Amino acid sequence: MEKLIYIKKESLKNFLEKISKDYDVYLPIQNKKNGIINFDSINILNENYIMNLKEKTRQSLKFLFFPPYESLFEFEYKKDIKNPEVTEIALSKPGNSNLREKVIFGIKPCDVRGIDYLDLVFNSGNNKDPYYLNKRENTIIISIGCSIVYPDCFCTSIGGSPFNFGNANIGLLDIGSDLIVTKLDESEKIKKFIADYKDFFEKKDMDDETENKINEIVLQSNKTCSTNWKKINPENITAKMESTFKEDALWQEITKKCISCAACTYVCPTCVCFNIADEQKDKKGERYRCWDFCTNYYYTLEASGHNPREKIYQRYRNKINCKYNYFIKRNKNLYCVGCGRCIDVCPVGMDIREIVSSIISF
Amino acid sequence: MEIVKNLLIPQIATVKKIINETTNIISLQIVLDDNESLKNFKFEPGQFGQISVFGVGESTFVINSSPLVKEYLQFSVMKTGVNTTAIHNLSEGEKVGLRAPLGNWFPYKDMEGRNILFIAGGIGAAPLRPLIFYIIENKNKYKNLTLLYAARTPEDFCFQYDINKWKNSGDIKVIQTIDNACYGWQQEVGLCPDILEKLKPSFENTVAVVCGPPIMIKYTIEVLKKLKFSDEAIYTTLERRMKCGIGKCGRCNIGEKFVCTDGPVFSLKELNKICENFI
Ligand SMILES: Cc1cc2nc3c(=O)[nH]c(=O)nc-3n(C[C@H](O)[C@H](O)[C@H](O)COP(=O)(O)OP(=O)(O)OC[C@H]3O[C@@H](n4cnc5c(N)ncnc54)[C@H](O)[C@@H]3O)c2cc1C
Ligand code: SF4
Ligand code: SF4
Ligand code: FES
Repeated sequence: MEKLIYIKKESLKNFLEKISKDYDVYLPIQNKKNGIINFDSINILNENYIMNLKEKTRQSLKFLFFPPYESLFEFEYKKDIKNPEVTEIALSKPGNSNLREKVIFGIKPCDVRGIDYLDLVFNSGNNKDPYYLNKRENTIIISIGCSIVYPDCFCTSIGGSPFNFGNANIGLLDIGSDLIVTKLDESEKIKKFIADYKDFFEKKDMDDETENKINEIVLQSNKTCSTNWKKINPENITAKMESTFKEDALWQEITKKCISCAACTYVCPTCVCFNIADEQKDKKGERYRCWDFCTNYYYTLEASGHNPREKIYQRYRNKINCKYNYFIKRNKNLYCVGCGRCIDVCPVGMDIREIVSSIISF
Repeated sequence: MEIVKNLLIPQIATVKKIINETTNIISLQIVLDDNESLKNFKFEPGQFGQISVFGVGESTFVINSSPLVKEYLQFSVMKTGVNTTAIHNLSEGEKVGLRAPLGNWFPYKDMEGRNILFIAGGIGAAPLRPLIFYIIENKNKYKNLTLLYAARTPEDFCFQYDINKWKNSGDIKVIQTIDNACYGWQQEVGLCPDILEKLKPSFENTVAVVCGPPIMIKYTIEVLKKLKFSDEAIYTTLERRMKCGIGKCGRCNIGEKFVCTDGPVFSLKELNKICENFI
């Protein structure tokens, strides 16, 4: 009979504390005062900040590898006393700030996919991004499948599922009393990890009751999620995006509520556009990058005053095409993981599913 | 751990010489401070660089010196905003940052055996300059060369020193035009597309390379189409606001293409495949 590996819920706290001695552990933490859940370090847990593995985090995890603000390098103007006419410039790279290995615990499958897409942007091709890689390397991802599916979830529409663990190293399924390991990657790193904490990874034979429970949860979650939206086929959707691109009236109509506030791009696990700017005080300064958003008027404004995407509908159309067209052409994947955060956070109630549906049915 | 080259950190370079081109355009000749990098520096006509004035910011300029010149790199900068003003305020001997070469280049090998019609508007002559130098140097591989260069007034032509040389050598036929007639001007008067229409260059075995402001590119391409130039035979360079220059920050996209890595040089054939307007 098949062996089951599982973590007992009652020993979860000890497990996390134990691994936090060897790793920087990040998990979904709820601020009890305002109810907001976000990924944070296990070290901040106390009576006001509690672990919450059920609901979605407000922000995606991208900030951990791609922070909202990040120094690229520092510079300093220097005068040489022997040669006072010449001002030299010295540059210094910020060091590898954090070399401890990380464990990300309790991330949902859609967010795991979000990380895959960040990897496609920052860790592929010729121009790899050292700032990202430095933070991304040496990370163990432990995902928990979604026994509860919320109304704005739609991963099943775009090729994911509440239990498709993708590139997570370990995938867990919550059956109430225990967290069942349903995915374990074959790497040496994970073998060692399991061996290091073997006291917490219990084993037993699969029994009918557990098997039924697992099947029931998977079935139920998939069913709920797939009623949230229709299935999207990447090839058909690119063709549809192309054929409707020049339908300005359609785009104006479906985007007319958008106020270009950027909330949707900030919470999105795959939106990674950034700005680069300098800051200087006296002789020293730094160049940094920070999150930016393509629905912003200034994003494409050129020095001449010419703006290729002057109107909100043009910018929103770029955003939707980026996710449901351009990225597919460049990387063969839809650039949306169906987490629903943008729907959740939009102050005027824009729903990406409705937008794409209108395009499809045009 | 994999060693990844940091493409966002500039190299330090020194401004060796500043040339006043027009009332609002200067050319900078700059030299990388690191000798080894300078010796190994190679670029292709059409590629660009990101120039930093540290503390102010970084801006995109095409490398416009000849690819055959190894002593320095030339950039021409029109004063338009924050960074370009800071660049105009630089003096010879001062330091800048440079990330280069970036982007693709003109497919000059594919143009061999053909006539080439260069069409430039204002500072749009900058991307053409290294290409013209390269092609003149290898002129036995190409047929007839023509440059139609448009500017607002006689004072708005950049690189007049090159033009005089080219006219004297006869390597390339140069036609200059200005927007409105003015005293002493003996060449063409009129907008670039109109003059092109008047000149009626033959499309046969000819490649047209058009660089300039968006509006000029748009109308010039229309005339070229009227003159039966095919989409494959029309090339242009595009501008979009840029930050990273390496296909990461997302800013410079036109449809699924990034101007910084898929461009800045495109054929009209490629551009017509993109759903978003390129002008
Ligand atoms: C591939 C390419 C080649 C270019 N070659 C030249 C050249 O040879 N000579 C020349 O004078 N100009 C050139 N430009 C335009 C030049 O980059 C802008 O005029 C310049 O960046 C304006 O900067 P600013 O700070 O003065 O303007 P601001 O309006 O103050 O700019 C603010 C920010 O926007 C960016 N920005 C604004 N407009 C543009 C733009 N059109 N393109 C790119 N970034 C922009 C700037 O980098 C800056 O970060 C080129 C642009 C591109 C994309
Ligand atoms: S959150 Fe809503 S209003 Fe704000 S930019 Fe996104 S779609 Fe527009
Ligand atoms: S576009 Fe919306 S649903 Fe899709 S990944 Fe981004 S935040 Fe989630
Ligand atoms: S300038 Fe950043 S993607 Fe092109």
